[in-house]
Amino acid sequence: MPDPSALPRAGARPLMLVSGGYTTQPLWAQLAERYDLAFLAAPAAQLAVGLGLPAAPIASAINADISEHIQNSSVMLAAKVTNSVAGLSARFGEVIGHGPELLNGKIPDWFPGFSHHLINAVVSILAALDEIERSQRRIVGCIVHEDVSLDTRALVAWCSARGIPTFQVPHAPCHLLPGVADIHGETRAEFIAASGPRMVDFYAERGHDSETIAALGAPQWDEYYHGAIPERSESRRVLGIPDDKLAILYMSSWAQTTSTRSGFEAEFDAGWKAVLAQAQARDAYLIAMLHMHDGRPDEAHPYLQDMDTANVAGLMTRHHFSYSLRAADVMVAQAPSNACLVAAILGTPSCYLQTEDFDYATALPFRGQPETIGAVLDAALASRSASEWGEFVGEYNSAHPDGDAATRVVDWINSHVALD
Amino acid sequence: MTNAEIEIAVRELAHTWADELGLEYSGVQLPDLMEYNFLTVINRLMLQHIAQQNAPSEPPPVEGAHA
Repeated sequence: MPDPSALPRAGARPLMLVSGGYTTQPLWAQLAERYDLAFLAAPAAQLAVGLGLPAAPIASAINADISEHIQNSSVMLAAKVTNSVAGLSARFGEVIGHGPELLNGKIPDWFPGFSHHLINAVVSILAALDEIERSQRRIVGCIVHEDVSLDTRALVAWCSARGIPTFQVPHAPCHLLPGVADIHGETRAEFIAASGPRMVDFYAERGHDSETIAALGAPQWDEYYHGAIPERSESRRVLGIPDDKLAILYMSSWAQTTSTRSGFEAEFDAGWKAVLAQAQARDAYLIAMLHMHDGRPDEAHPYLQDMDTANVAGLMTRHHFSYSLRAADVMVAQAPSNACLVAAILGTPSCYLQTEDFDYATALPFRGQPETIGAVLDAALASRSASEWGEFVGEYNSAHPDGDAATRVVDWINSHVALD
Repeated sequence: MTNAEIEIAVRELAHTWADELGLEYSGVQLPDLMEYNFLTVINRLMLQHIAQQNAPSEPPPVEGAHA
């Protein structure tokens, strides 16, 4: 069993840097056939070690001397921010005018500390990578999931500066309309393992070289083709849903903090109330599923209380995704969610409530506003078993209907990694 | 300016300032790495500001409140 507390140093196997994340997890076992794995996310390293794979966290390269170096370097870099923050504050005021006070006159009060916090985090990653490099371990590649955040971009930037190939395996951020600026289109990775043709378009339209983008499928969805998918009757039995009742699955959303678009809470509230009204009018069973990244605690959501008030039978959950989808007659999402694709893979028709600047590029799923969601639900319900749903999935998951995306992605990565 | 235009303008401004600052470590330009975090905090502040602007001018009465 490999030592989980340190990067394996013995042996001549090349090292692959991996960010972690659920989109990369289906790749780990096949990657480990050729590489030792060094993870950005320590929990991912622990999980990989638990699976018997040769893995360790990147941070395990940091010792006491390096830790002191990180602290000193971070302070020195943050001092540069402090010395120039007054100019930044003045420019913010010119751009946003009477904006929020903290951006319009108060930036020097908080921005240097905020920057130091981030600088310390990123220097810790870069210093660990420097130490791995000094230890003579050969890093042959880097695989990240969405290199838009600080840590994953650090991996990619460090590798790019050294000519090491970098790969992004996105989670399908392909619902932005053309011409819309958003950080999700700005991956810095050299190669992009796109899930399907629509994701190729998404990145190519935003200036990425189409020669470095391949439509390979979504590895994180392989489980929906090969896993144990429950039957509808079993799903309803487990969730306590009567067999003869129409079941509507409502997928909530989460606040996009990388843009100032949409109506946010007010939009969510209007969407939920429209769906609740539909469930009431149709005497339907309503499943309210919380988004996995919705940071609010369950008890803060009004879903169950609202259902009680409206005399609508239902449940609220953050889990049981496959069971909920199989039990439901139709799904309605609070935005053009990836859940629509999973629903289609599992045979459940879907629709969604539109939001500013986001939409699927395909005719399906059905879509509308709170005022029109009744007709949209009717159209979705009538489309169950239509062949167009399979065509829709194929646009966003090239591995459909086989579901072997992980193998395709690993083979593609291997073809771009030089071991000699 | 629309919210989207403000977002883009603020982002360009932050990039320009960061480029001039020249924060670098181990051959890597740090500001580009921190873009997500900057955007997130700026947008949260903007959203709070927008919500305050859209709030009713007079707060609704609070039942059962005591001085």
